[in-house]
Formats: sequence, C-alpha cells, structure tokens
Amino acid sequence: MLEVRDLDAFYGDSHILHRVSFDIGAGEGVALLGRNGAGKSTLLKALMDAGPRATGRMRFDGHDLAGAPTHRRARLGMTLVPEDRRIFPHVSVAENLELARHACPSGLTPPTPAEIAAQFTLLQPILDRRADRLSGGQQQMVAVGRGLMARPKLLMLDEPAEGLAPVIVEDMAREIAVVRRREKLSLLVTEQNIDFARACTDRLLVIDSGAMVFSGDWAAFDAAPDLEARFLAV
Amino acid sequence: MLADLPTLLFNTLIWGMATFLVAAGLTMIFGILHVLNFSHGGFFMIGAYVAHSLANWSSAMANIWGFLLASVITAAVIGAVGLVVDRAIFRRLAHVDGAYVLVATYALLLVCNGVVKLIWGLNVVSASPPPELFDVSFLGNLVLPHYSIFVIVAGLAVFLALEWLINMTSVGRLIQAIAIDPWMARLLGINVGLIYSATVIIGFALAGLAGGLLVANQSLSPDLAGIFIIQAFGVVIVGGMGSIRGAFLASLLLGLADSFGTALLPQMPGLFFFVALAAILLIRPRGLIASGRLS
Repeated sequence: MLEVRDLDAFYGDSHILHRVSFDIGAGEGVALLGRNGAGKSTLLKALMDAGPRATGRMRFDGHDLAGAPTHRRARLGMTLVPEDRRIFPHVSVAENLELARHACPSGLTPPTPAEIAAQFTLLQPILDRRADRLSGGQQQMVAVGRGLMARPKLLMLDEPAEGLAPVIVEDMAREIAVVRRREKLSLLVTEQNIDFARACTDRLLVIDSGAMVFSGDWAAFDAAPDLEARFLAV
Repeated sequence: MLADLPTLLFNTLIWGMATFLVAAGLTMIFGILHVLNFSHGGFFMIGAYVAHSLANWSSAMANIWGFLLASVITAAVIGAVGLVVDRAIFRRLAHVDGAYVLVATYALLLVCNGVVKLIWGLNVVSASPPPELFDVSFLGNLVLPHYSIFVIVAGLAVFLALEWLINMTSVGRLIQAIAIDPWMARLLGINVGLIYSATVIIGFALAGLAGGLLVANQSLSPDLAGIFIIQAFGVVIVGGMGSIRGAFLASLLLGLADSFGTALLPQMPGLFFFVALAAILLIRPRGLIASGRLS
C-alpha cells in the first residue's frame, strides 16, 4: 500500500529525517513511536507534502508520489489527522465532516455525517453543534471522523490520545480498531501512549533523532525491554 | 446651518456605495489570499477606460442596458487580466515573504498608469450616464440624480450578492474554510490553489465592474486610480482587513464622515475622511470586524 525508501526531510536548513524506509501493507495497522522531537509528525507531514521539504521515493497504492501536491495525495486515499486537530470553527460539526468529502475518489460515494457519527459515541450528540464549542475529546473525534469522510485507504493519526481523559482514549482506541477492520483500512498512528498504540495496531516502528531504530511486531517489542528505556522513556 | 439632513444622508450613501464597489474586490483578495493588492485601483481605472471605449465604440451601449452590459464585459475583461496576473505574480510569489507581493503589485500599479497613458493618452475625458439615468427626481428639498440612485443600488446589489455567496452557499463556506486554514483544507483534498486563482479572478472582475459602473460623471485621467484607491484602502482597513461586511459598514461610516465634513468645512473636502479613519483606528485598531480574514 505505502512504500517509503530513503526519505530525508528538512525544515529550512535543519535535517529532520535521515534515510527512513518502511512499508505499510493493505489493511495493516502500524504504530510510529518515539520521543517528542524524534520526527514523528515530520514523517507524517512529509508523506502528505504538507510542510517539510522531502527527498526520497514514496509510492502509494501503485502511484509514485513524486511531485503530487497535498490535495492530490488526499484524493489518492491518504488522510492525515493532525495533532492540533484543526476543526473549522465557522461551521457545524456535520459541515466540518462534509468539507472532507472533496478528497473522496471519484466513483466512490462518501459516507454521510450521520453514518460517520454512528461509529463514534462521542460524535452522535454534537453533529449540529457549532464547532467552536467543543471539548478536546469532542474535537479529536470530529477530526478522526472527518478523516474517514473520504473513504481513505490509509488513515494517519498524529498523537490522537494527547491531552484526552483515559476513559475517552479507551473508547476511541476500541472504535478506531473496529472501523479499521470493517473498512480494511491501513493505519499509521504516532503516539506517546503505548497502550493506546498497542490497542489499535499490529506492529510498530520506533524512530529516534530522525532515524528508524526498530521495526517489528508488539511481541518483539516486548521481548526487548531496553527499547522502551532507550528510545521512549522521557 | 448646513445642508439639510436628508441630503447629507443621500451623499453618505453615494460616497459609501461608490467606495464599497471599489473596495469589495480588494478586501476579498486580502481576506482569502492575505495579500494586499496595490494594483487594484489601477485595474479599476483601466476598467473605467475600457467601459468608456465600449460606450464610444457602439451606440447600442447608449441606454441603461447597454451601460450595464458594458460594465459586465469590462468585468470579464479585467477578470481575464486577473488570470494572467495570478499566473505571472501571485502564484510565483506564493511561497516567499509577503513584502515581495506588495512590491510586485505596486509595480503593477505603475504599469497600469503607463498603459492608460499609452492607450488613452494624458487628456482628461469624461463619460455621461445613459439617457435613462440623466434625469433628476425631487423629493421635497432632496435632489436625487438617477445615476446616483443607480450607483447606490449597484453597491447594495454587489454587497448582497457577496454576502449570499460567502455565507449562504456551500462554495462560500468552502472558501471561508480556506481563508481560515489553507493547510488543513489541502489535507482534506481541496484544491486550494484553484480557489486562490478563482478569488483573484473574481477580485479583479469586481475592480473592472466598479470601473464600468462608476465611469459616468467621472473625469477619466491617469490620476483616477489614486483618488478611489485611497478611499478604498481606508474602507478596507476600517472594516477589518478581509471582511466584506466590515468594508460595507466602514463605507457607510466614512461616507457619513465625508458628507458631514464637507458640509461643515467645504473649503477642505476629504479632510474628515482621514479624521474619521484615524479616530476609528484609535478605538478599534484592527477594524470594525477584526477577523483578519474573509467574513
């Protein structure tokens, strides 16, 4: 589904990612772990051409991504839900969801906001509310729901659990895992919260100082306890 | 003491709506692209000359419908120029500091002045309104030139059309989303560059439309750009950069200041525009509707 080879990414003169290579298969859930500043967000943004300058080869669903602008990548089926959520304040929650229909590939019918809301308990009661009056947890669910409006093939979530109450995080992990299986969605999720990442993915990548330092399944991760101490502990 | 109140209010409306017509495209481009287009007045002026030439070229333009048609054709012509300017300037400078765009559009204003001198010469020419608008009505003491009523109605119509487009249509809400957060809009698969180009074309077309609608009773000279653009910039700033509604309110407020000021101090026309501009900005430094973007 996604192939990344020798990805380097830069902000101005600072070199953030160093020759990062990895694959994500169709329907596979992958967690991307690493400390603050390790380059997780930069990696997701580089995949969408939404910020850093990137070099290297990226292919998605048979398409070479070289030269493809952000909106074209979105229309190929890649969706990024950014860390800061970025809900549009001037319209309702339902209209926020509808704005995301533009990325739906031609030939597919996008879901209705009600269909999306039915999958997330937090979303249902707030569909008609103006989006500038939402709690952090509600905003996150709107952002995730909006990410599903274009029927993506790859959903990328940047720190979805950040700043949310534990009970909300649990529900969200379960609901995302359900949607992922039903829609046969590939998932790439960056997290500090290892339990959340484990609950909705099959395997993980660990990144440190912009370089990939581990790739394997959760059993391999658990078998190497020094990984957590070296690359993830604050 | 002064001229009577109804006359002052009528003058307010004329000043306000004429200025709003010029300011609408300026504030719209700022509200969406966050770019200040110094050349806007230049294209307004070229629009006035184009409309004037159209009126001279065909006698079919010598009635109110012909006058409107000439304005619409002018809007289309200047809109097409906007497409070229977008490709040549705005798109190329989209990724560099905003100061470069300011300098570029200022240079474009100078080019507009040169083009007018080359094509239409230095002499002042004047156009008259179509015969239907030549008349004057009286309402008590109030003198109502029909062309002035036409300008007021045109200003209101453009305001209502833009309000409807931006707030009542799904395209308008999409445009607002882009004005608020273009980065997120791109992530949602929206072709932001296309909307930016469309905005520039509409903004330029509005400059051309204003030129066509306001051509009558003006002395057309290469100085015309400067006269209206100062008022239009004042209205855009007082309204809150980028806000259509703010520009509309500011047009009326500054028009009020201008018409009362001119009645009080007829030897200093235009003074009160600047006094009111400074006073409003002291109280509300970011303008009446201070969103800094399209609203």
